[in-house]
Amino acid sequence: MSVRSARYNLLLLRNPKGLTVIPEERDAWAFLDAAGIKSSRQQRAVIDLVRGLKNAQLWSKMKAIYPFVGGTATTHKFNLKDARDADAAYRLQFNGGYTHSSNGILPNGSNGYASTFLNENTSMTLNDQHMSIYSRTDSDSGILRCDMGVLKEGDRESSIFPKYNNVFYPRIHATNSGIANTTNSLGYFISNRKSSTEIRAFQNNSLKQITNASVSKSDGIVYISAHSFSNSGNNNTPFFYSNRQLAFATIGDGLTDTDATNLYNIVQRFQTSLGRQV
Amino acid sequence: MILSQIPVTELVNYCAKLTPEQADSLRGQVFLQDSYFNPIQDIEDNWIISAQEVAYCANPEFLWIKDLPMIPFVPKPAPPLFGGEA
Repeated sequence: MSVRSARYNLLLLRNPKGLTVIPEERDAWAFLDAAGIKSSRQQRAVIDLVRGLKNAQLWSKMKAIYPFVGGTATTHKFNLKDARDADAAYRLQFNGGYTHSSNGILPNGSNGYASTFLNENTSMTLNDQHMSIYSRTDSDSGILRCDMGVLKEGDRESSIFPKYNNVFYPRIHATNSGIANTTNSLGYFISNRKSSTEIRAFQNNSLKQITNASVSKSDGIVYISAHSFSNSGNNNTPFFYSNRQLAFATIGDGLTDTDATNLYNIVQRFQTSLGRQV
Repeated sequence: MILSQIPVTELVNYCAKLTPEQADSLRGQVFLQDSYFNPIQDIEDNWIISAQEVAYCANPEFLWIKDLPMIPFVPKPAPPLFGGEA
């Protein structure tokens, strides 16, 4: 009997009602096995996360989900949506200085970033995209720090700058002037677009609406903890290194307001179950 | 100054200085499982890696970085926000 089968059977035994395990939980076990996560608390949190995303019809809207569970680069690199250890599965590659812990990934703000290997131009749809990050660090200091982003010169960008001079910049397929909103960079930030005319972004389930015309996707790789930039002299060069600790991140299709609320609630419950909510 | 002389709380303010040849030899190499070197240039165009890369390096091929000189980290100025604020 394989380890995976043994765990699957164990889950059956743990089921308090003695019912058949929901088949969708196999996605959670695929991730847990790939990452080698043995902690029952972390296993339960991931299973509950997958169950919540599927019940809320969010699972199919995701291209990449990074739960940052397990405390090492090896456990943090896996994409919950596709747990293969391959660039094509959008498995992360950590570069430069990071500190990995049970609270997530902490870049050093000078040369640490993670490549998703996800090219926005080929993997995403214009006017139908979101990016999200869960930040456990409150930082600004008037320094541009990006927690997820991509731009090729001549195209338009998609990014999350949670707080720069007290402004949140949520960008998808365009630039915009940002939202003077924020007193801190803590919690769950979503850059989101479902139309060609507006961005509907969120900080901790608070809607930030901007009238903003989309222009184009970027032919580049999405980075986490930095912003990739490409032109004639740069090929996905990282800029705007972040020093914020992240405990979750996603890339996927555009979200309705209801989707965003559901996602916030699911992610906050996930963080609370791991004792790292902010 | 080398890494062991820097208090842990100050590590983020320091980096290890490399020659251009050393930077080339480290670029894209693994320093710890699933963690890759990322040499960059500081404000004076010195090639550097972070104190974390030095501290966490467990690749026997690159343990010589533990003896690199550590210097204060001063980044290049960031470019303006892409697309301005309009």
